[in-house]
Amino acid sequence: MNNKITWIVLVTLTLLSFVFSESSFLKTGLAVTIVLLYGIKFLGIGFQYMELYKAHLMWKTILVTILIIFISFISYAYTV
Amino acid sequence: MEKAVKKTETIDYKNIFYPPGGILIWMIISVEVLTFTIALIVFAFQRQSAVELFNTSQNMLNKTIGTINTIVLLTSGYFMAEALHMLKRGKTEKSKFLLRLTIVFGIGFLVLKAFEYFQKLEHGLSLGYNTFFTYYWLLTGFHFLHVFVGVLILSYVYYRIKKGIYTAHNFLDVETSASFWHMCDLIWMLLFPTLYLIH
Repeated sequence: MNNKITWIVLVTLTLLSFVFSESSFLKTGLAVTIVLLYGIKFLGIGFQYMELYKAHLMWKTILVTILIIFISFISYAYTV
Repeated sequence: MEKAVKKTETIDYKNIFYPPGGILIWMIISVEVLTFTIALIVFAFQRQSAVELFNTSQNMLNKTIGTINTIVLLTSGYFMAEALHMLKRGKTEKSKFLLRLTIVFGIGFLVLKAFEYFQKLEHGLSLGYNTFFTYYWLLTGFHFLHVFVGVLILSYVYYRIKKGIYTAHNFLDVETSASFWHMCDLIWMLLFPTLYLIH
């Protein structure tokens, strides 16, 4: 059941990102918004599908740290 | 066999050495995801020196096919998670059915990507066309290889479940293979928005 809910959220966010990238109403902050939406999807896959929620804190920290590095640098590169 | 049964039933996932799927696959996942992250950061900063070129090249990519492929891969990941869940609960037949769907959707991703590659080559947008396409081919190409290897691994896992080797009491290899498969999803979650969507 949880996997199904996760799948619905992931597909919804995918479609939402597609709409955002095609529309013009989100000119400023588009990159950050889309990267954040994909960051949520990344966590959904890691914690739910890969069952990271059951794992030791260290493994959660590693994955979240990599994601934070990705979001920070990409957002910076696309906004300056 | 007896030993394997006992081992699988007593896994303490909270132990730092036993994350779901095993420590080795998680070391691989960490390194792989970090490598793709660094490559994408380099791509993003290189873009700053040729924004026009990168934006024009990005417009040559097919976002619709990319989005459909994202949904195909996510759906495959969902079937994989459910297949493992069913196997752990002893529902082998359902698990086998879900694993077949996982493989079919995985192949679907590869077929769509191959179609996209074919379109690019037809228009002369090969590896050496410009800097953007060098990144595009290398990054998506490596990811494509991961998915291809993943399909092979899952096919072998399916065969072993069918033979009755992997069961509700012996699922560690299936869990490891599932983690590899989900890693392909994770990498795509970084690749797709950076290469196709944001500008």
